Amino acid sequence: MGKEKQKSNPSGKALNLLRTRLSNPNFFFKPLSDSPDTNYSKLKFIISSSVTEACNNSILLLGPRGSGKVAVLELVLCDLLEQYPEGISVIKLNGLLHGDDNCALKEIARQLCMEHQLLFSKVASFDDNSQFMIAMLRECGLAHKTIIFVLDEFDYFAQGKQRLLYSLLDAMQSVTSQAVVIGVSCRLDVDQLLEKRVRSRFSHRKLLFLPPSKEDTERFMEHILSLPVDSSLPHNYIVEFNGRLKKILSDERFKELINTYLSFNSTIGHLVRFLFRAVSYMDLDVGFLSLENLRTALSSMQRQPKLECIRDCSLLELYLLVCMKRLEVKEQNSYNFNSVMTGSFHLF
Amino acid sequence: MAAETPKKPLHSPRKPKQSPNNSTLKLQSSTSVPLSPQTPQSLISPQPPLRRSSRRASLSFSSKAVGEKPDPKTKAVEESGKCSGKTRKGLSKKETVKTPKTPNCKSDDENSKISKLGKLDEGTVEIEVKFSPVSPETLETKKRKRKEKKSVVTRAMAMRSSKKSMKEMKRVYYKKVVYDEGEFEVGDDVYVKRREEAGSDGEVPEMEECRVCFKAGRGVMIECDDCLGGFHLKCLKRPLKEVPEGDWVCGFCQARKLGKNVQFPKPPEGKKRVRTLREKLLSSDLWAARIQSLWKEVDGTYWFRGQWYMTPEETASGRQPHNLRRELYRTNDFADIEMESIIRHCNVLGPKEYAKAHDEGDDVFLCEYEYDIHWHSFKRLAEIDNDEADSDCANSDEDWNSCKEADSDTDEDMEYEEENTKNEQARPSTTHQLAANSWSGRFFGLRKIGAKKIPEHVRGHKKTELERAKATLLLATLPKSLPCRNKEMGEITTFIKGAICDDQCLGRCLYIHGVPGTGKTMSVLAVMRNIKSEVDAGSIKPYCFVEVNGLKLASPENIYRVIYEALTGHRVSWKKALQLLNERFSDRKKIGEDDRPCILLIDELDLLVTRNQSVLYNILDWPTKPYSKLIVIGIANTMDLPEKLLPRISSRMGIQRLCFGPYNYQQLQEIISSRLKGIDAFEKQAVEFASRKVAAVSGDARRALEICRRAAEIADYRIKNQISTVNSSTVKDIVTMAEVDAAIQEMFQAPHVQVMKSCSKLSKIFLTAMVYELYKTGMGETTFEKLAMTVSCLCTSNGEAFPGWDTLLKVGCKLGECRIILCEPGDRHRLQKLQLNFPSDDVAFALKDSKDLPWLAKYL
Repeated sequence: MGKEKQKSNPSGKALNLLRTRLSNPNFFFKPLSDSPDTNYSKLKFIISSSVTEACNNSILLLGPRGSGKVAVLELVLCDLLEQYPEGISVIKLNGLLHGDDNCALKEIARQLCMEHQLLFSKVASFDDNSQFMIAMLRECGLAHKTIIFVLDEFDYFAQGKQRLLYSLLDAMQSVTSQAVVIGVSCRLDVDQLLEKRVRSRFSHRKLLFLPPSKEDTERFMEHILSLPVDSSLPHNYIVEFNGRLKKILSDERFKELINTYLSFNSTIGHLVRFLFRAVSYMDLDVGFLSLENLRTALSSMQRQPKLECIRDCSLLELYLLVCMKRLEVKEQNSYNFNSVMTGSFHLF
Repeated sequence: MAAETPKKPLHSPRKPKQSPNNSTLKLQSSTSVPLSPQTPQSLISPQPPLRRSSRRASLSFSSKAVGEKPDPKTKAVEESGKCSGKTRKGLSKKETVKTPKTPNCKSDDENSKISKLGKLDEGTVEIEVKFSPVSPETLETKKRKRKEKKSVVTRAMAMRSSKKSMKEMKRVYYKKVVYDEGEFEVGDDVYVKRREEAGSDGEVPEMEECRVCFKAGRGVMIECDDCLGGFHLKCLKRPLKEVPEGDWVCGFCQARKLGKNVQFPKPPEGKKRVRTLREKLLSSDLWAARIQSLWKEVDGTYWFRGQWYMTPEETASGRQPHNLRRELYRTNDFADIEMESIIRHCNVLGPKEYAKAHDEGDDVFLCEYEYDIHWHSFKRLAEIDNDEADSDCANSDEDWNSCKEADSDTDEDMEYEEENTKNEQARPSTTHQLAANSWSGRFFGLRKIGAKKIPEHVRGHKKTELERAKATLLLATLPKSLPCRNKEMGEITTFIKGAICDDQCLGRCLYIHGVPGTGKTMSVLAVMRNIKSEVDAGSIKPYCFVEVNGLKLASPENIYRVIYEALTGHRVSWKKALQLLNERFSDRKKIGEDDRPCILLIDELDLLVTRNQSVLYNILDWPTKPYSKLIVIGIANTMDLPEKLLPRISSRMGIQRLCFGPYNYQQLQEIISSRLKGIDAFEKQAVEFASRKVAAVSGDARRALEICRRAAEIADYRIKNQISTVNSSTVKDIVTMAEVDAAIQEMFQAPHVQVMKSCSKLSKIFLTAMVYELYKTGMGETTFEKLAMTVSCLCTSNGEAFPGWDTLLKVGCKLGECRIILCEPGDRHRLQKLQLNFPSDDVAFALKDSKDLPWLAKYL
């Protein structure tokens, strides 16, 4: 018994390690961030230069869901907070939660108060809050502090009169303020949603997040799945694990499998979800990833719920469906239960 | 008092010795004439770019040149004459008070000296009394000094503090005081004695001695930028002919930097090196303060309220590496000080003036930050003077001030009281904290914000051309001039002047329209600034100016509240405000007898349109009232706003209009190049390209500036990366067409083509099928069912596996999320309607040569 436990221990640990990695976006976006062409370094340059040069900026991060917009932004913010611990305060809003201008301003005031250990009052009016925000922008600018506004789901802020965006962007036109507005959205046409005077004040920097290329994906998978050599796991286990992984990754069948998967959706977020499932299918007794794990994961993710539903239908239900289908063939697009009954059911 | 007496003999001889020199000096500084007229021209280096050091030489000569001592008595007469001359400029009341004062302070009578010394003690006492409540335990540095003072004069303190409350009632406040041959005004910066050392080395040299020959004067001196020591040009080891450009570091400092142990030459036997006031200040043996207010106590002594300056060493974080030698911090620490302890003026300048300062004398200091003594934090000083002027504009004015000052003393007391309460508000209290974001806590927590240390990158880093270009292209930086809007600005000016200068001041209304980014608001504000300066000069009657932005109001009705608050400073509900404003403008009932004309600027006017348009009607109706004296300037984007409104409004608003047309490319080019003047960072064609592009699209100046800034940013990014990799200094640091093009692409091009190029295989097939369907049927809209059929056809005929309907539906929804296609929610299944959001040509262009699916080209 004890022996078995000892044996299963390294694989359990490895599984844990892989899972933590897969649920930590900072880890798997890190290696993608060293070259100067990546969004990471571009974004970092824009934000850090507006911190050091005391200027205002506004940026849009665009890209399909799961392409790592927020993850990269978090990574950049983490780095910058380390670099300038005093000089940055981050205000985060989400369009789904704070789409209403009034509520968004209140939330901004709340976070600003939290950040600077001030007392926050819930009952303050819209005017109070907006004046407070402008005053804070000025004060922070004078103290060489940059306020970074992260507006997730930016498209929801770009609805209605867009008071929040207007007052934010208008406040940024004064010399003393020092702020960066970062909009994150999956809608590619979000800048068209802005009202003309807001658009004129927006500085129209755009960073596009695209799914990685095939080579990048492979490199990424190897990086994320192979165990680190300097971990606490037994050495020969690691070598064995990595060796098997390499074999799987170079296998033709695997490539085919992953291609069918990526042909559906090739973003990183999606891939990570797939890998997490595959890793979870790993047999702890064996202790190594196998191609079979990946295949089960794939089939469990690519299900066709409607077909499966029909498979479980009773006979009478199937009869009804067939009758409806016949009516459709006869180009009769609208029908009720009665017409189905009278029109076709007697055929059976 | 016993402790003080030994000082007296030291103190009194100092006075006559110092005064002649002092007086001449102050005369010059007060009249603010540069020293050149008095200086023998031959002795100063004639070239105009004088370094700070060379001015020291000139200073010394000027004091020598006027060296002959006037008879004390005649001088006294002169002084008093000067006084009255000065006061005539100011207020009539001052004169009567001031003239007797001058002889009093000038008399060398021993008795009066003693009495003065007595008062000095009281002065310190007063400081104690004032201060202890303001800063209970947080401040350490100042406190320490004050403790020293306290030890000298503990007895008098209790006595004085009891008296104080009664005396306060009869203070007389001044704007300008002539004291001890110097003229002190509110806002001046002065050296302040530390009391316990007043007698220690009484002699204060007016000019610095050379660090080598220990003689002052005689020849041009140069200042080391490191140790601030002065050297004669000819005394240097390698004598210089003239003052070199740029920074200069003396040989001693250079040697010390190399790690050698150097000793400055010792002064000759019997002569002690005397330190200048500047040196004493920087080594904390003296203080500097800024005069906040001046007044005379009942007993005839003159006092001022000073705002302390601190040297970097005195702050909590100590001297930081980027601190300049002559840097001071302004604190938010105040003290009441007797005028006696003022030594003389010093010049504390902002960074811009400091950079320009070349010959103001040795007492020039830089002050860029305010230091909060409670929180030990730094904050940049904003352009305070501007701000004060702005806030004054709303509720006070020159005339108004003067009549108030001429009023009885009780008025002054009230002001004093107010000041006190304000101070109390500013200090952090632990008992009841107010919320920072509500109105009542307005002044509250904001003090707290400040940098604990001034970040390294702000100073110490020399800006490259590109960075300077980026800074000047910022939308926030106010341009020095507004090119291309002279005609419009002229029209606005004539409109406003015509409206205010009329004797009846007929209310009028101007409607300004134009697309965003054509300088509407900026022009109006520039005109208002110009007019304000004319008001200050006295050629135009004062007025009040209220600026409202429609988009920043919570609701249109709130505008009444904002206007009323701007006019009177009171906050009431909007209904009440409407009523009061109606009274003010229509019923000739004036609020506080304030009958200045009022200019109301409403930005984004179209936001004030409500359903029954009553807000706009009310506002535009006031100017038509006979005694309203209201001028409304409305700004909006739409040309035909008046026509869209009810006729009764459009007849009031639509008479005078001004159109700001979009800029054409020459104008944009001029705007950009006027900003970039003197910065060599842009190719000429690049600027032209950007302005042509913007002029073709919108004519929005903001857009053009942003493109150029973005281009500079891209160039900067490229260069910084190149430097880190290649490590070559031959990188071209100029913005070229390529960067401008990249910026334009980023700004104007929708990113959908790139997204389509890189999306997944199924999405590509899906899009192709949509285009194919469009070609086949000619209908823009299709249903999911039809599309799925097409997809399956395409797949089977080209050897792809059909993924199944459910997967396909998900793919469609993903594309819909990015708005590449427009689609109904996915729960409509096969009846879901789909439509391409971008032209089919874009899809064809993006997918034509995709590598993994070459067969797509057949269907596009």
